Amino acid sequence: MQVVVLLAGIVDPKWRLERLALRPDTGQADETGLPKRFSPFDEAALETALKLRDAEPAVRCTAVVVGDAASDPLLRAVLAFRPHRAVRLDTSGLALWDPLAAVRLLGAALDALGAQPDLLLMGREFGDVDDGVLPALLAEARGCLFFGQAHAVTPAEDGPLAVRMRGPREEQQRLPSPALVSMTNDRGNRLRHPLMKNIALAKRETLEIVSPPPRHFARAVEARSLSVVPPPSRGAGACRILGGPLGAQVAELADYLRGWRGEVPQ
Amino acid sequence: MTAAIEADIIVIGGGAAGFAGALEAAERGASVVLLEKQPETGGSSAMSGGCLAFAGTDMQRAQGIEDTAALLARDLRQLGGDDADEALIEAYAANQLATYDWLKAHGQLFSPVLEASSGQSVPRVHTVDPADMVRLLAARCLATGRVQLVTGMAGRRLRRDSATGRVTGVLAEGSAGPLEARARRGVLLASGGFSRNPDLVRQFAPECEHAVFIGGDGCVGDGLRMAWALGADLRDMAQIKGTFGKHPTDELNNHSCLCVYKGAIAVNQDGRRFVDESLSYKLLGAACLRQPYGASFQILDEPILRSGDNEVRILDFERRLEEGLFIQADTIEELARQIEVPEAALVKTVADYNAGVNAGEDREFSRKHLVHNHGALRRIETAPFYAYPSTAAVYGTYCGLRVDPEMRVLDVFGERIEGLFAAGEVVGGFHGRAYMTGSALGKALVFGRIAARTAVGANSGG
Repeated sequence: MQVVVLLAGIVDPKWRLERLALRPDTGQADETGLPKRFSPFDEAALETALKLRDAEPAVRCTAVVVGDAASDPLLRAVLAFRPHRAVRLDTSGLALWDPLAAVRLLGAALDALGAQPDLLLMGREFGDVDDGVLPALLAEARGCLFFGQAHAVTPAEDGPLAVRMRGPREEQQRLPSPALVSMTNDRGNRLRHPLMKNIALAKRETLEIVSPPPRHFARAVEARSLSVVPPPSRGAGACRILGGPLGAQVAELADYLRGWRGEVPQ
Repeated sequence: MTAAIEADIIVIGGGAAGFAGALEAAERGASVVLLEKQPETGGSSAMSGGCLAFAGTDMQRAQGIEDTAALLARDLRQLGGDDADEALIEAYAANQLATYDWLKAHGQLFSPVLEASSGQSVPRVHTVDPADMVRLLAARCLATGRVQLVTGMAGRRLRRDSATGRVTGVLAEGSAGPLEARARRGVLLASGGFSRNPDLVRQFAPECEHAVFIGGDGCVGDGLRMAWALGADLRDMAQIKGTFGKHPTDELNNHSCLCVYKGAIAVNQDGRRFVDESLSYKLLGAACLRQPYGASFQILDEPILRSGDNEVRILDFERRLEEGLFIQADTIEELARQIEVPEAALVKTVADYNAGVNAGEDREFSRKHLVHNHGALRRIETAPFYAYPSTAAVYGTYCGLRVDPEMRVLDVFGERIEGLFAAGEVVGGFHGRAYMTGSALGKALVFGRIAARTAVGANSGG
């Protein structure tokens, strides 16, 4: 079984975003120098692919990192998990917020890879700018059965089984080939840590880059501006430590809560 | 125009050593200005495991643990070897119990569980929430009305009297500009180590190139270099080593995990042990960095995993299990496959180790105890089995300025640099070759107080 996992990466939220703008005349976010990492949804998709690989010797796992050269560290990070194949799909010239163009690009990339996946895995949101529409659109364009927001895909004799929770209900779907499953993060699909040995080996690997034909770069949506919205300043909230004798503090707090309760909209 | 400020004591660094020194000085009537480079106080102390090495405490007595200052000093000597400064060990041993009592008197709460860890013959790890401890000391300082805290202010150069050579203050710098901080009685350097300064680390510890570096962001060697510029002597610079037990790729936990001190063994990527696991984790870290890929695995079974202590960060195994940091398998063979070491090698390693435990003799590395001189070895035999990926992390540089037992900084000729004191991680000579759990944070408090007493001219007693 051919399993292909598509990985987008996001700008690392650990670091404060000081600047963000469009590259002139491209409609692309200029993320030069911004550290990237995988989103929890990317990680869930990757871990699911690795679990399938570990469970079934017949599974062939291909990881595709989508991005420009700034995503090469992500590709090396993927290589440290030792998928059968890992490539970067070069998206130079395309913004993923343009879902129609992105679907065309991803479809062309899969063709360029020569992969005929039985199962496509991706995060429920693909990168920083997808709101969840891309996986479903891609499934439709590829003629795949779509199963969204799964938290697990487990191997079984009559085909892999995708599982998701809908409120108190668990839903299962036997996956035919081809199928596309978007993954949500869950305790059970938290990405494992790579071994140091494999991190060291991945540093020495030659990277495989695939560039789809240029015709697939035509944009359907144009972005005209992009900027960072500054976060609220620290300590901006109304905060005061109560003082005085304990009884007075309790009384003041009680008065405050009585007044506050009255303000809650019904 | 340069702003100016004056106090009896100028303290540089707002971690445990700085606040302990400031509080001690203030309680003895001195005025103190404490300069902290970062916007918030705490430094590496607040990030530490919160372990304090105290001996002879009421907590130990209540739990039937016989410990004394003499036994503590003996352990420190045994660990530090010839490189450890006997006078500093004596100073620590003589003042640690009073510092424990002092902390308690100020309202510090300790975890009720006492553990034995690196370098300890008996359980003497007294655990606190380190960030809370620094906050408590800071609050007590401010409550005296004699301590002024200035954050966002970095010390740049020490000032000396041109005639006497005495240190008279420090030129500091903040976002608003320079500040001349004048000290009537002395300057106390409590500015931490230099684990965040790659140039200094490369200069003094090139073998730690592949280690993980963890420490307060401000730990770039400010105090060390300022005193160095005045001719201060340095100690233990060749002893910088990473501490064993840091997960090499986990970014959430800054602390080491010492399953070995509860009975695990350490194996390399070839599936072989490489060290006596009961040694100080500083020595384990050095041995680990010499293994292929600079990494290893702690191998343990279910009973060892459950023997961890959730109150002590370095022994909190269950939380790390919940975080997915342990690799788990039902057999040693399956565990070997998961960590990609040769199955036969790991099976043999575990079997040989268990046979050694049965025979009471570890023929390969002569391990006799779980940790230092404490605890009986245990077999690794009950499924599930676990592997904890481990490398060495440089949490502190454990080396630095040469001081006398009163915490006066000495120059390269062994002479005092008058008016200059040091405490905490910036001090060298105390640890020597290895390191006892709780002695770094302990030294911050104990030496910080000694330095303050010396500076105010009251350096006897606790």
